[in-house]
Amino acid sequence: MSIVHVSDLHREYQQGAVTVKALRGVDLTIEPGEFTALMGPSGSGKTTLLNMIGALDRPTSGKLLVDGKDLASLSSSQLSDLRLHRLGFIFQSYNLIPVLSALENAEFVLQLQGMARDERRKRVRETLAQVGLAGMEDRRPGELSGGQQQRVAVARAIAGKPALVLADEPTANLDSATAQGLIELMEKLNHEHGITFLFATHDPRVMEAAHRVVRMVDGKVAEDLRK
Amino acid sequence: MMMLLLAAMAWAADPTIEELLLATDDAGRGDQSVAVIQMHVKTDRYERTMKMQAWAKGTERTLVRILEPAKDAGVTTLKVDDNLWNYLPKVDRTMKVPPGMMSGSWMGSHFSNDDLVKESRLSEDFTCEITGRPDDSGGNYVVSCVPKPEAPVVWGKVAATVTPDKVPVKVEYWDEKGELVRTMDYSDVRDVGNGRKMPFHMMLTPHDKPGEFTELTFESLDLTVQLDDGFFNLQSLQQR
Amino acid sequence: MSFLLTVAWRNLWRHKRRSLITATAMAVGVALCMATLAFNDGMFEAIFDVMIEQQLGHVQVHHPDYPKKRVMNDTLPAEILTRIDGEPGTVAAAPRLQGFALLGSETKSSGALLLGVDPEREPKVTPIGKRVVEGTFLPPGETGGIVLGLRLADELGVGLGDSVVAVTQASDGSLGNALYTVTGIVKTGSAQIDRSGAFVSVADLQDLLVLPDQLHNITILTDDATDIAPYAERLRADIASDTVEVQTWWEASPQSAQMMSMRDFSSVIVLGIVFGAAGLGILNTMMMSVFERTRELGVLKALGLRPTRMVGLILVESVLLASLAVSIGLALGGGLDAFLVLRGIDLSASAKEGISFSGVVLDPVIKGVVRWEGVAQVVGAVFFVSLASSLWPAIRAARLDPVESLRAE
Ligand SMILES: Nc1ncnc2c1ncn2[C@@H]1O[C@H](COP(=O)(O)OP(=O)(O)OP(=O)(O)O)[C@@H](O)[C@H]1O
Ligand SMILES: [Mg+2]
Repeated sequence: MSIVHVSDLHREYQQGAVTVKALRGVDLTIEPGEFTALMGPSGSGKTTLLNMIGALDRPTSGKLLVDGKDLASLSSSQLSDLRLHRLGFIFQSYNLIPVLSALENAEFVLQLQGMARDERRKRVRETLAQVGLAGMEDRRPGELSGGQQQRVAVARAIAGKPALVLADEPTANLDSATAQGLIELMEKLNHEHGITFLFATHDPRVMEAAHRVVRMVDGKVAEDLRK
Repeated sequence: MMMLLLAAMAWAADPTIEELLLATDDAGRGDQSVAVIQMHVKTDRYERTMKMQAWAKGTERTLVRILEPAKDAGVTTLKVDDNLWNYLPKVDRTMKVPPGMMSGSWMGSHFSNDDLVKESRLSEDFTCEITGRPDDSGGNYVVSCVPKPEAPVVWGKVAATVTPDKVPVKVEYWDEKGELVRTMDYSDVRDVGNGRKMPFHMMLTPHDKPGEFTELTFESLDLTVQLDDGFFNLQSLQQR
Repeated sequence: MSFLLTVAWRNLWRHKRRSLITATAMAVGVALCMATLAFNDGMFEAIFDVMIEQQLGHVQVHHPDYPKKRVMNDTLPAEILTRIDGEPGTVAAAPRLQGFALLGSETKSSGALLLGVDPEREPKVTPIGKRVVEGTFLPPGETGGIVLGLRLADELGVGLGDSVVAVTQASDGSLGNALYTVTGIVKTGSAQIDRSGAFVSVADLQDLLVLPDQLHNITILTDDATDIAPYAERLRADIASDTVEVQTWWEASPQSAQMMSMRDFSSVIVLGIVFGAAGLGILNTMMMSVFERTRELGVLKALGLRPTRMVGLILVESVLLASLAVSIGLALGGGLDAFLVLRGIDLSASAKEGISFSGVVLDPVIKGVVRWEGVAQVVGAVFFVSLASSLWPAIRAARLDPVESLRAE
């Protein structure tokens, strides 16, 4: 069963008198274990599509199945739960909670999922180790570099063992060496743990690493390239 | 109530309004008396009988001394003009009754201290007229009196019923709202000499207190005594 | 939940100064509120003391018609007193008889309210003995003495050792009269008593009024002023009849009860002020906190924090802030209360003659009284208001659109 199934998806924004058509009939299916990059010019609708798939926003029309569920039929609380249990998010600007330590930032998703403390701690420590942050558990985001922060964000996204991790330009704020390291980390996670990734990105290195590149133009899928 | 008695005597003397009023004003001015009176008081709360001796000269001077019961014997009331004193033998003191207590009961009866002081002043404080004559009022005269505008009286109207031979039958008192408040009934009319007739029994009935009354019975009445003005002073009040 | 607590607690310290200023302002409110309540309660306690304990007693026994009609003959048999003495919970019971009389000295006279009291029992119920400004109160076991109100003594022109005649119409219609010797002069602060009150022994007044072994009133103090109703209920069951009525002080004097209920009214006003102040403080702080964290809260929401938990997060934060305020406030307020309880506030500068309260003179030094319910009300009010006023910011946070808030930079 595919994790994401999108067909003829439209999203329009009303900006005063003008109607902005961000998505104009997107068709896309993502299978488990895929490592996909969404690319396309600025304004082509990448972020908008990720938001739809991430259950953060509702489409104007079209069909949207995530993890087998029709998002149109879910309440906002159910959407919350879907995001909490089945999806992981990595943002361009890390978006860690500044008052929490690295460990706590990754931990709270598990806490919200209701995992018991001991199991949770163990899992978070392992995950932080996986992303190469062993020994930095107690640092606050302000005490970490951008790359380290983004690794914490990756740890937070994967700690709950989601069916799909959505990442919107995860490397855009990183220098190229750091970005390279992060890409390799995600490749490894995909490869070793079978975590499904969907990126929106302009970064050629991400496209390089991706098994599949979907190119968007004007709110539509213009090209779908599997390597 | 001595005053009522004297007033009654005066009204009895004259069958016309002028004569009645004149007689009222003159009432007892020359008259002097000494009487022994039994007073029987019945109220909701108590019933008591007292015997007393009363001396009077005109309407202005009265001395009443209690003879019985023994507990109260010797308690004496002196009235001179508008003033009232009580002599209390037990504590050997004389107390002037203050203005605030004038409306209080005299010796537990239905007479107030005020009654003793003011009762006789019909012609001074009231405007009177004959409102009934023997032919239309059951053989008696009726003299009705209403207070003069500024008069310090508690009644709204007073009416005396008098027989043609000048014997009082009854006096009725109304309050300012026109309600009949009390009635004094006279009976047991006897000859007291000189062709004068006097009631020897009087009954005061307060209508606002059903079942209550004060009854006066004269055991003796001497209208021939000669009394000095000096008899009615504070010294004799205590000596008697 | 512990996640919410951690985030809320850390957020509070993220803006240390803002949180502390808000908390301190609220704490000052709490402290002032506590002090006001303590002062207020002290004042009312003093009024209660004077009005209830010294005049009305806790429980009164009388003929059912006597309070309204004041008819001399509506009396109680004196033997009821022994039964009241035997009632568990009775601390003191004072018998009283009263009647109007004309009092006379050698030269002057004046109407007076004669109060027949038991010279031994009366001081246990009312502080009349302490109000004697000259001489002594009626000596126990003796008769023939009289204690006059200050102005009444002036009016009669009598002093200690002088004799005074009392004349009145006794219950049997006779002219009751007696001679008393002035043993003392009292200044009670009650205008009525000072101007026209005179105390004699109840035995003397029974003689004067010819009411042998009869009383108009028995005033009782019980062992627990806060638990009068059950005592009155028991006593009622024991002695009440057609001619014997048992009343608690609030039944006997509804005006006094009304006055005492002002205590609660003024507490409500004081609490209302804290409500307002604390509410605005919290609303402002939480509103700012939500606005400046729009992005962060949006992330939480995006990551799957349910709207209801978002509300919880904000509420927990405001409760923590309130707890902080309450802790500081209790410390400050405790200090103020301690001062009020131990030292009191001396009002004699502004009220030289003592504070007069509907004819009753209070001590010019008002000492605070701390009631735990009062403190609890203040604390409760702070929490309630904190929750109520952070509800709106909380709902705003819960309604944040994650996409919008993530776009906000
Ligand atoms: N909330 C919104 N209101 C109005 N228009 C919007 C909104 N969100 C996106 N759009 C518009 O929709 C179109 C698609 O935007 P989107 O952010 O998805 O582009 P993108 O491909 O992610 O661009 P970029 O590479 O710059 O991130 C753009 O024209 C954008 O201005
Ligand atoms: Mg974008």
